[in-house]
Amino acid sequence: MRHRLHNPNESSMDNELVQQVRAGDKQAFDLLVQKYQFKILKLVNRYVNDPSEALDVAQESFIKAFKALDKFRGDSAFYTWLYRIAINTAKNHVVSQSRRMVEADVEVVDTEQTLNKTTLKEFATPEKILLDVEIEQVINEVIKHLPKELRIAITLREIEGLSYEEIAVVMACPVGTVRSRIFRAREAIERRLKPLLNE
Amino acid sequence: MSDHLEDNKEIGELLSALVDGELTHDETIPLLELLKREPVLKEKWRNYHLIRECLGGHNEGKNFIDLAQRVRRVLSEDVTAPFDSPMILKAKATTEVAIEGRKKN
Repeated sequence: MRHRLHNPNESSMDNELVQQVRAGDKQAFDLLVQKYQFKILKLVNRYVNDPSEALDVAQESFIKAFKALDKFRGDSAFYTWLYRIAINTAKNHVVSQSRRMVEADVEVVDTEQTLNKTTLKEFATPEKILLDVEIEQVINEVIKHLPKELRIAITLREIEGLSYEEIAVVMACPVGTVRSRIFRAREAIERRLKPLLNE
Repeated sequence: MSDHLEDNKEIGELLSALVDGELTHDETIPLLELLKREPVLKEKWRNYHLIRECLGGHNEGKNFIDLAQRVRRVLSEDVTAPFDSPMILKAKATTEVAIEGRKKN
């Protein structure tokens, strides 16, 4: 089953946060950053092969979004809008990097042409790989040892992308039970992740 | 208050449902307010999203911690001031070096 791309409630929550940011509440923007930072970093990492530059580009994407928030009309989901900003910021970064590497008077290189040569480079430092592997191991380990009901509920939600209502049908239980099982699964994972993240 | 919230199952469950977009508008608004005020809940919010990304097969490791903090730091400064992101600062520095180099030549 495919992961659902657009959850109306989630969009409505994002729009609510956007309204609050527009009213001057920076804390609301912080929640949006916390929510989407992983996706944006992942996106930027596809274009920028240096980890610290990827962070800079991702950071700049969020700052640009913050400053342009008045222009967000809500025609598309907030994440779609943010995604476009991040893609453009990453592309511009790649182009400016490649310009810096050639003679100053070289002709302007076509963006797409440049991107074809420089995108999708994988990068990894030993520390990063180690932590990534640890996080992944912890999550898999916890999930493996979860009670069956919790394991199925979190898998149907996070991997299959089912709604609570759909999971309730699959698991033949009330929606409230699904909600509780997913929460308990997340709590179990988070408890084990915390020491790793706070190192 | 934060210590109580960390182990408050009712609020934790609501937060988990919020991450999934499974709350009504009326449930969402007060929870968002609480979330903004309480660092313990905000950390959970972040971690729940991290778990989601990892389970979805794209774990970005430790970078994420710095990113949120960095954005927060920039926004805590005067946002009406001209935008000087790290990238722009680097670009400016490079340009200045290049200009100086040309002057010397």
